[in-house]
Amino acid sequence: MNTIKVSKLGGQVLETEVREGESVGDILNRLDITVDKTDQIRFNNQSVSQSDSVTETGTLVISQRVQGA
Amino acid sequence: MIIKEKTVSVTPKKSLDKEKLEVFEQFAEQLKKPVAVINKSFDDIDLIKEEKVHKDNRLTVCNGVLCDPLETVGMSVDLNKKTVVRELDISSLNDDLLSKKDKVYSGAFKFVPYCGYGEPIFDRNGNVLAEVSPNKNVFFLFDALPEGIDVEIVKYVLNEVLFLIIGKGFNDEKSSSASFLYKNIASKKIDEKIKAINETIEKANDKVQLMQQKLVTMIRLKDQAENMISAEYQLRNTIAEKVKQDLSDMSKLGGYSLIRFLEDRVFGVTEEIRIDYNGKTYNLGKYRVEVGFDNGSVRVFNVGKNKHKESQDVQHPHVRGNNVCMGNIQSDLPQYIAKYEFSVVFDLMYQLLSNYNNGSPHSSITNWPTV
Repeated sequence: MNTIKVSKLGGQVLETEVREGESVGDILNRLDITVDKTDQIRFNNQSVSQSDSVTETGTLVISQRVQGA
Repeated sequence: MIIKEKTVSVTPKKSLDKEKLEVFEQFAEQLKKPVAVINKSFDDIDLIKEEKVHKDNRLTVCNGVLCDPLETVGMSVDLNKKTVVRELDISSLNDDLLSKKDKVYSGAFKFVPYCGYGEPIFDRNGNVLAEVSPNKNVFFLFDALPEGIDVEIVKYVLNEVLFLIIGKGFNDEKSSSASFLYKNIASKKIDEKIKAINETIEKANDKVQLMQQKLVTMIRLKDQAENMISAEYQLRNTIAEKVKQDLSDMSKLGGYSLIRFLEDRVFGVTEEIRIDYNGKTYNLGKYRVEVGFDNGSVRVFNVGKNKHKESQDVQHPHVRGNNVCMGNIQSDLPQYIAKYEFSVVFDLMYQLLSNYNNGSPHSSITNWPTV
C-alpha cells in the first residue's frame, strides 16, 4: 500500500493510504470528494481517469482547466 | 454599721429594698459616713421642683443624700453635720414635719448643682450612669437608665464613687469607670482601625481579583502562543521529512525535467511546452518556475530557445516580466504555497503554462514558433 496526497482545487490537501484494488474514483468517493464532468484529474501531473489505479506515491489533483488571464 | 440614727425619723410607706439597703450600708461603711434614706420620689417634691433641681427628670444624691431612683427612696447623709435622715417618706410629712422640711431638705439639697457638672460614672459601654459633683454629690441619671436601676447598677455606681472619693471600692477588684472608659475608647479606636484595615483588605481583594482575571487572560494568551510555537517547532522538526517526501513526489511529477530546492526557493524546469491552437501546434519552449519560500512569489522564465518572436520581456502568452497572470488559480495557489504543498503548486503551474486563454493574453500565442 502507498500513501498519496489528494487535493481538489481550493480544498485541503489530504493524505490517504491507497487500499488494494482501489481506483481513483474509489479513493475520491472514500474521501467524499465530488468531481464535476468538466474537472480534470491528474496524478503526478499526468491525466488520469476515475477508473485508473495508482500504484505509486504521488499527488492527485482535481481542478477545472487551469487558464491564465 | 456606721449609720447613725436621724434627728428626724419618719416611717416610710415603702421600705427600701433589702439588697440595695445593704449596698448603701456597705457604701456608708466604706465612706465611714452616716447614711439616711428618704422613701419618696424626688419628682413629687415641690420643694425640689421649686429649687429646679430636677428639671431634666434626673434623680440626685446630693452631698449627704443618696437616692435609690428605682424604689424612689432617698438616703440622706449630712456629711458636715453627720446627721442622718433615714427612710423619710415625704408624702407622710405632716404639717409639723413640713415646717421642718426646709431645714431637712434645704440642708440636704441646697448644695445640689445642676446635672452635667460632675465627674461621670460610665458603664462598661461608655454610657454615663451617674455623676459625682465636686462637693461629692452623686447624680443617678434616669435618662440613661429608662428600665430602672437594679442592685447591681447601684453597687457598680457606688463602687465607682468609692474609687473616686477614697480610691478604694467594695472589694479589691479595680473596676474604675475611667479604666472602662479608656478600654472602651481604646476598643473603639481599635475597632475603627480594624474597620479601616478590613476596608483596605477588601480593596486589595478586589485588586487581587482583577489581577487574577488579567492573569488568567495572560496565561491563556501565553498558552496560545506556546501552542503556536509548538506547532511551528513541530513543523520545523517534520519539515525535513516533508521536504524529502515532497521531493520524492515532485520528482515523479510529469512535465518537469528538473526540480531543485534551494535555500530560499524551489524551482522546476519544464519540458518543452506545446499548445495546440487553431489547428496549429506552438512550441513555447522550456520554462523555469520559481517559488520563493519567504514571500511566496512565483516567477516564470522562458529558458528554452523558443521565445517570443519580438519581445524579450514576454516569457509566455500569460507572463510578462515578473507578472504572471494566474487566472482561475489566483486565489488558491497562495494557499498551497503557504502550506508548502509544492507538488500541487507545480502541478497547477504546469497546467497554467500548458493552456492558452485567447481572451486576455499579454501576447498572442502566434508570436511563438510552430512545430
